Amino acid sequence: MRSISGYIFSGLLLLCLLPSVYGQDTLRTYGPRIGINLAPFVGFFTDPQVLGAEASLDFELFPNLYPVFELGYSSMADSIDEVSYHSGGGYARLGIDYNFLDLKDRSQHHAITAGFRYGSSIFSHRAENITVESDYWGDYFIDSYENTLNGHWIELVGGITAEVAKNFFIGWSVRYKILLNPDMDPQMVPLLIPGYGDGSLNRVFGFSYSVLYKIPIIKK
Amino acid sequence: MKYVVLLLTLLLLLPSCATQDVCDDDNQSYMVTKFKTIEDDGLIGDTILSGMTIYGIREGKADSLIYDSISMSKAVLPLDPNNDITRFVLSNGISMDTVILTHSSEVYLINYTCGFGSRFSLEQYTSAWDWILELELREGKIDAELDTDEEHLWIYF
Repeated sequence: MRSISGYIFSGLLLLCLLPSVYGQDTLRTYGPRIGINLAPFVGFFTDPQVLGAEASLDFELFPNLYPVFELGYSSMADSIDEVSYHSGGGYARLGIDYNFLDLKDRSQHHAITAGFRYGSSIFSHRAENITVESDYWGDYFIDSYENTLNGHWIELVGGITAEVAKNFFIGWSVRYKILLNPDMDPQMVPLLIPGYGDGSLNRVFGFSYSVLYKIPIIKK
Repeated sequence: MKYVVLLLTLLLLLPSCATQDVCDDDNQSYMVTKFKTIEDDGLIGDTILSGMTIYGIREGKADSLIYDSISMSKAVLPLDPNNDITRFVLSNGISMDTVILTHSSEVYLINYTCGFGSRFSLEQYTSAWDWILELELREGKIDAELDTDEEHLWIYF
């Protein structure tokens, strides 16, 4: 909880600092905005290592309404008590963000948003060197178990985006994710559903930290 | 530069959410059998058999007793994950019978700390001789997570 309040504080601090970064500009530009989510790179330093990358595309289609499309990939491998496990695959999320900031306050494109996503991942997971213990009959071994799965979830998203230079943004979001099909594999719960997280949990928190560039196609 | 510092600060604030399962359970699958008898008035009653010895028939292995000459009203018996058939010999020193169980099974993950277990589905159940009068299936699904008051098979003597 402390880390979430840390986010909020830092984000608000950022917004307060921003107007001094560059001059007021009454000309607004619109266009598709592409982003790279830096949060998956944290996975390089976790144990087990989770490798991944994620990009996003959004557009202010109507005032304060941003349809969002996110696309990513992630994979992990781990060994737990002789069982080696691997999971990996791609995912996509589609949704919409609503900006709570008043239009008249927005000579820059800062945003405090709330929204939702529908996420889906197609991935495969695999365990090797499986042992089923039996003291009396003798242990049973199988080389591997593999399954290709399709996970679905929805996310409630809250975030802050700040325009740090003309058309360049940084943004973060906190996400509450609800897994729609937790029983996708009754034989082996996925340790990683790409884009969602730990498949043994029906609800998880996630976050994103993105750098974005808006392609200024339309000027108003 | 300010933003690089800010970004790194935010990344360090990331919640670490590792789940740690603790495994103190037995991963093996046991079938719980309860001994029954039909009373003179036709009602089904529990029965305690004395001097009971039970062992499984293990191909290519020496017999090993699961129960050795004890009084009991129920038996907890491990099913064989290597085969589709598990056979148990029951004896009280006077009479003897063999219970033959046909099952399918699949391997499943109990959790990532405990590892894998077998989930059995009992398909056929019969006894070879006359001592056992009848077998009654109570619960055909047998997995490694045993519910303490579960009863899978009633054996009538």
